[in-house]
Amino acid sequence: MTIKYLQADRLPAFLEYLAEDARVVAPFKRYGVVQFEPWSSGKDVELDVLLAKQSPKEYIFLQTQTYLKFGYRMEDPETSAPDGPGSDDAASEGEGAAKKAEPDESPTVGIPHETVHVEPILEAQTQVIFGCRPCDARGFVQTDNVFGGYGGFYYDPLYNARREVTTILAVTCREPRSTCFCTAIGGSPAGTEGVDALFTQVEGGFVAEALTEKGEAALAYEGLADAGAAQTDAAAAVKEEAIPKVDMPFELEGIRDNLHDNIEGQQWHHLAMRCISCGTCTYVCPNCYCFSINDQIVETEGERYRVWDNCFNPMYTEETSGHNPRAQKSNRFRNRFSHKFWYYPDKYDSLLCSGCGRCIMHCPTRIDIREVLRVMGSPAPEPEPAAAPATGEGKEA
Amino acid sequence: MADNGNGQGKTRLTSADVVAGATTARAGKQAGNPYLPEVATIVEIVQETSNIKTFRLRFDDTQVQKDFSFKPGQVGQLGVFGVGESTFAITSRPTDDFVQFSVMRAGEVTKALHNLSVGDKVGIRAPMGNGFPVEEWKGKKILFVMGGIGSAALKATIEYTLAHLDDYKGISILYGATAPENFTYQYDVDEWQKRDDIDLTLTIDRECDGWQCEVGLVPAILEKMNPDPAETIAVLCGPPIMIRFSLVSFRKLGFTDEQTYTTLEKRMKCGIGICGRCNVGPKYVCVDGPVFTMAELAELPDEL
Amino acid sequence: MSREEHIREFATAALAEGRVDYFIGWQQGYNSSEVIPVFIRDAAEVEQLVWNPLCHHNLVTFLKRNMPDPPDAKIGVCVKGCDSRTLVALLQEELVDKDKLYVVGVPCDGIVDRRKLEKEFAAEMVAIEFPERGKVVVTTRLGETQEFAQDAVLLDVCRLCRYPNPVYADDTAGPLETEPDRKHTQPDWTDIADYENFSDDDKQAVLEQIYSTCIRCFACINVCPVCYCWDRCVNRSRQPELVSQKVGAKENLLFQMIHMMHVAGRCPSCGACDRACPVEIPLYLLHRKMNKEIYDMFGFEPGTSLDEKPVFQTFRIEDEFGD
Repeated sequence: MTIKYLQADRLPAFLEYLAEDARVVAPFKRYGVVQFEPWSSGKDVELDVLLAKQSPKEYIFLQTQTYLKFGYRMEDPETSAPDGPGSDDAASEGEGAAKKAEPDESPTVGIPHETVHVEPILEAQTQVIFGCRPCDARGFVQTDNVFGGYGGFYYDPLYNARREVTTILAVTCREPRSTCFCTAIGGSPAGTEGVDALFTQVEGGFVAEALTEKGEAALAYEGLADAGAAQTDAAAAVKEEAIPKVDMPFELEGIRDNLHDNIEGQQWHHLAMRCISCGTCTYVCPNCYCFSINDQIVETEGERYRVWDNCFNPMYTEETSGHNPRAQKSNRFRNRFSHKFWYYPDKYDSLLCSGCGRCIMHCPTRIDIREVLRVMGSPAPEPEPAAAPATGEGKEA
Repeated sequence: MADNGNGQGKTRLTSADVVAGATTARAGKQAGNPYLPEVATIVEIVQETSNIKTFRLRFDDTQVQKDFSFKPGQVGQLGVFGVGESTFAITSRPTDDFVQFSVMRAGEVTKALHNLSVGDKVGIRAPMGNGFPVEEWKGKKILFVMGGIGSAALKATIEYTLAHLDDYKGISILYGATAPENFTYQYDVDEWQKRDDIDLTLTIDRECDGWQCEVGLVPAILEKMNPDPAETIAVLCGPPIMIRFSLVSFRKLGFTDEQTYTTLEKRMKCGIGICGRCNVGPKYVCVDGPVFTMAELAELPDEL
Repeated sequence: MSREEHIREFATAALAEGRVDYFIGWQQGYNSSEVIPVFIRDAAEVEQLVWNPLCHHNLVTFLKRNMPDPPDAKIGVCVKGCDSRTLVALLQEELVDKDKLYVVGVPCDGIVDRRKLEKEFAAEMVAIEFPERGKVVVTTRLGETQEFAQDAVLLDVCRLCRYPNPVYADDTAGPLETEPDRKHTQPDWTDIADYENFSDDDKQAVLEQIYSTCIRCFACINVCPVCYCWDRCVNRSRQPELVSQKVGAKENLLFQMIHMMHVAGRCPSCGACDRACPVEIPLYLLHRKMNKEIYDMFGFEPGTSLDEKPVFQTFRIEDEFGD
């Protein structure tokens, strides 16, 4: 596949080129805060800060996505509803016949009545995400499994319509953070999973390697020269230097089985004590994908939309009867980590984590996933001293 | 089809695989948009008890109605546009030309449903879930034990086994309600009582004038019935407390967890194994369930 | 004895004597540039407790409804001046049982704004040290170090603080800090002066712009000690639905307005909400503005005295209302 070189001062022109056919999304700094935003001419991409606050997942998996619009209308009586039961023969036969149906004439014939007009909504704009990191790209591969009709599961067009028209141009991490742990879970600061073309910063510019057809198409810009040997060597050196800079804070092997064995462990309470049960970790994470579906209606016009939700929400599993299977904060806490390193891997043969460390950086009390996995992903911890709390009765946070 | 890059040879679908115009929940190759409900019209409403109604619905699209089929025990998302969707067991019989759900009025969506009339429109996404393994049960005795609204969850399966009586060694039903007026499907119960090929036991909580069947809580009556676990499948559904104590009774009577089935209720949203809400440990109630054996549930974390 | 040593001493005694089931304080995070809350259960672990100008968490949030684990636990907790005011607010409303609490008050000379420091460097900060009072030394992952004067990098709410000493405590960790003369000085509202001078339309525009990046994570809501409705929160209500669950600038503004109105009169501007926000929205702006309104109308500063009634539970003929 093609390997090109992009001079640093040609980056804006390259983005202009991409913007001719697609919306370009990249990390930008505004009031000191780096976030993925749509690019427009004149904006400088921020690549000195390693990670944008959030992953770019909101550009494929929208935070709020209306997928249905409906309106109540009065219908012309001539085209009213189908007849009631008894109009076909099958229903009246057989033993234990159902309670006798209404008279054969549908009671609605001849009377104007209300009907619903339903319209599906799905828009997907071709886009290029430039300047994300390999962990962000890997996140998409992991959410692809959930939404992608993989292995006989359901296919989600709301996600896939956008996924298929998105090109991902990731940038190698030259200076990983102390909170990164991608290498411990099969990733890399120069990882290629989910990446269409990988850009590595070298002297004077970027070495850009196409990895897929989409990547090739993106690199077809005439302002890119073929990369020379010196440049590709420099890129290889950057990658080689970056990889050992990422800590390996735990052994992946055995975590799934140990999480299973420790599911009722008391340690979950201790690890969850400083958790405030918000949704920060799930919303900044490149792979968390849980969502809710809600209806909204004003007078006769309404919509159904899906919106991010998170399993720490105290009401996440609350049932109408009032029963809440995960009323205890420690149960919700263990659910998230078990989902990422046990439940999801059992279904999809992959982890649901890319080691970006955003959850650690942004958690208001810095709950550390590495610590949780070290403790609960190890064979059963020591028995608790007598002073340990019992699993609390009744409602907890 | 795109390889998901995770080895194991499992492939992902792309939009090229999607059948244009296909809607509702159909997994895999015939994938459409599984979030889009089919519009259906209420053709009949039966007031079962003071707070339970049965809705009989016909899809507006006659082809969809013709093609509609489901396995006993499967559920569906029934929704009111503007309010939301909720999960209900499909309670129709195999031969019905409508789709039937029984709804207890409790929260937002069920209240809205109870306010609807014949001729009103609803949205349906069905069938979903795994259903009861009625094929595997051939040659066995089936013992249905249900309480309250639990009868809705088992109704379709009871009807199925009754329609295929020759495949099974016998059908027993133990049905408990708080009082005589609180039995759902009273009209069917009346028919079942007349038959001699169904072993039917009804029970209410407290003595009542004119009541001629059993009096007592379901677990106690179950033990009184003293069913033989040999070659028997036990199917259990009802309020959590009834399930818990019935299970104790079943175990006392020698039933194994492998031969005892139940169907779970959970807060659901997508119903298709994607949104991540209805899991009990690694199992999604909407696709791996809602039917589980007690043995399967014993493997799961305590978050029922 | 340093304040840190005082805290450890109090915690040891409380745990050893069984007066508390656990003691909440601060400890170092994944490196010395971060401090996190810690729950000490055993007197042998008190060495983990620290006190330094990174101890920004308002630990009173762990006392509110549904947080104690187990629910009837006896809890020891450290509070700074601002934190103690939120505790007083909860005590005034009888939402926390005084008898289950052991409060260690920690006089404070200001908390350092970690985000301000972060923006000084491209590389990650891996250590923040305080070699002497008033001095802050930052080290990055690339080995650069830089020194700052503590006063120059304080949190905005600390620059304007009028309550450096806890207003409620069972024991106090060392000598008090100098109190400002509150009787003869007005609170300093210069941090919101620019905002106050905006027209109504501009205010609406700037608020929508600020809240456009809100991701409705509820971190601000959950970290606030006086925001405790949890599952009964108006912002989460389904029946009736009062706030759309859609995430957009207008919906987010309404969400924040509701939160502000409900903590008004109980919020001492501790700024915990601000620090919890993962996308760095200046949340405290609206609360500061509300606090000024309340001060101007009622001469009231929330949570300063257990004997006082909360401002919206009293009515005096002299109460004045704005135009």
